[in-house]
Amino acid sequence: MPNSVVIVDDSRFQIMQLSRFFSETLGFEVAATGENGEEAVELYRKHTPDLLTLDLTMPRLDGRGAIVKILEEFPAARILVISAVKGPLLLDCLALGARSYIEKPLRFDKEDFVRDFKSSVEEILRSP
Amino acid sequence: MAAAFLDAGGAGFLLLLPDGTVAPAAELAGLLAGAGPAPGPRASIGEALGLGPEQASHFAKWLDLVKRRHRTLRWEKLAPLAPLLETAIGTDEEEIRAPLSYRKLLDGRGELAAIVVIAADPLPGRALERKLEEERHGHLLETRDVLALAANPPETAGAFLVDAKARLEAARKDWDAWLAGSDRAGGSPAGLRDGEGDSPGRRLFRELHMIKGNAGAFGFENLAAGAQEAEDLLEGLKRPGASTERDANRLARALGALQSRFEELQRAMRVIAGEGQEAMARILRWKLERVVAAAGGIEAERLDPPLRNLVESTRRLAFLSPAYLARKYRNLVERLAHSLGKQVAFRVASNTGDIHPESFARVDEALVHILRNMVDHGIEAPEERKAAGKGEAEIELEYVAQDDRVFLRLRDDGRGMDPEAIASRGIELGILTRAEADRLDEVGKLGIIFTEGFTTRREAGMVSGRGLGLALAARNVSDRGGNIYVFSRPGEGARFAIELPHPGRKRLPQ
Repeated sequence: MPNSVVIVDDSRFQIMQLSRFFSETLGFEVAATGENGEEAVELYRKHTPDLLTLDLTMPRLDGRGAIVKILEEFPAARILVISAVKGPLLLDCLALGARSYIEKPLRFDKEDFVRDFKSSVEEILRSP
Repeated sequence: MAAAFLDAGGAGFLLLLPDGTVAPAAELAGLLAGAGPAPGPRASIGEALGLGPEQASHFAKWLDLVKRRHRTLRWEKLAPLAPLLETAIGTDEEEIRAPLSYRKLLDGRGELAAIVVIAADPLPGRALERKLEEERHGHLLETRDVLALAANPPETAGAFLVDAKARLEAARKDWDAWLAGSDRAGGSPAGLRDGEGDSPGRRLFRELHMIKGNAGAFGFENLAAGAQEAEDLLEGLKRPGASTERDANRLARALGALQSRFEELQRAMRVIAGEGQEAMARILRWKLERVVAAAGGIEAERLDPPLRNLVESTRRLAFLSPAYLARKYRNLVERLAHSLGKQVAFRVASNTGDIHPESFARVDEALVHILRNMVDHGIEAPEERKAAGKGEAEIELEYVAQDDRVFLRLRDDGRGMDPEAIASRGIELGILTRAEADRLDEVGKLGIIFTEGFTTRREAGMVSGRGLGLALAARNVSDRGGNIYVFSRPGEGARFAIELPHPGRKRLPQ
């Protein structure tokens, strides 16, 4: 049975890119996609996926708030931050329990980027 | 300011301990052996790297995350999150950013012992930059030399090169003489020291000094710098107790370098003045002018026919083209204008392609004085011209040969002169009385400017203004049997005319 992922990003274009990458390259089943933090919490509850990818700057509840809520309810949730933010906010999210991060822009045309993306996902899935 | 842990080259590393303080690189071995940090007061990472409070707190967060996650999150993910990825080294003038990288250091138990903060050695990059800078500087000097060639009339530059060539040859001979000298055997360059008489050393010094001076005067900075360098080395050799072999070799190299700079200049000269024959022809013309000028001073009529023929044909040898004249005086006008912060376009017009050089040789002084006066007094400053709705300033030199007369007309489109104001100033200066002034018409009043002591300026200017220039111009013209005229109205520029007997049509031999 394939691993499942919920993708949350406020850009529909990036959701499309990420969905394609997860399903075509990583063999995931994309369980659902959302566009803000509140949806992230609801969709996680509904699907309890193997992986949640989360943008940080989003309307309604932002990524950081979503991480707090989700981990409160599901301490073992595997969250991968996918964001252009790299400062103290990202450090906070990782300290709160996000497993790893991918730095935007999404460069699926770059071998290094794809390799790092794959390693990050594999690492997260290996960990409990 | 460079962080203290960096060496002079901007490289180095320090150890960031888990508690946020730093240890010097020397403690690395102890940490690896699991000895733990040495006791004693320690600086915080913020102090060591000169961080502001915000950056320091960012750093603390990062260190905290590293401590918690270094086992579960790849270092490739953690290291790029460090807040400081480069540090400034070098002085205030030359700030260089040295890239910082981070490595984690685990002790024997797999615990985080320290993070090694490494400043990459930026020296290779800096050395390259310095080399490029030197090359740029060299190119700049070479370019200046070429520009100096272009700025000097080819005849002048050619004369300089001929002179410099002779001096370089002489310098080489003096050098060889010294090398062959007996005092060389003793290893002491006594022959290069200031001694009695005309030693090779003294001659060499003199030639180098002259090359330097002349090159500097003509703007050949690269050549002047080369001569200076050789001169300095020679000075060094002259000091008692100077080491000989090595310094002598350095001087030999410097002389060689000077020679190649000179040859470079010669090549450039060929490019600018024309290839081979043409360049020679121009230099020849310059020499010819002197012969012609000398011939001009001979009363040919009194000579025996063969000599008279020689003088007369010599005089006719060097007819000038308007382009030649343009080059000669344009240079003067542009330099003057530039020194006064003005811009002037200079044009030459002529009703004949054969301009008799004597006309100019005779009144060259007058032309120079008038041109100086026009640029200094006549042409307004750029802002003033703009305010008056005038475009770029123009000065025109016109050569008109007509029957047995030659007219040299100079025209500017500057601020012009007011005959009444000239007259009043003349009276003020005691040159003439009111009654005398009243009897003069406009042209007569303007003519006052040719009187010695007349000046409109209270203080002498850099270029002209001592009240002598135009008086000298007038005297120069009258000495040559000519007349000088001026006409002007306020705001309408000034026109000067020099009328001379036609030098070629006096009494040509039949």
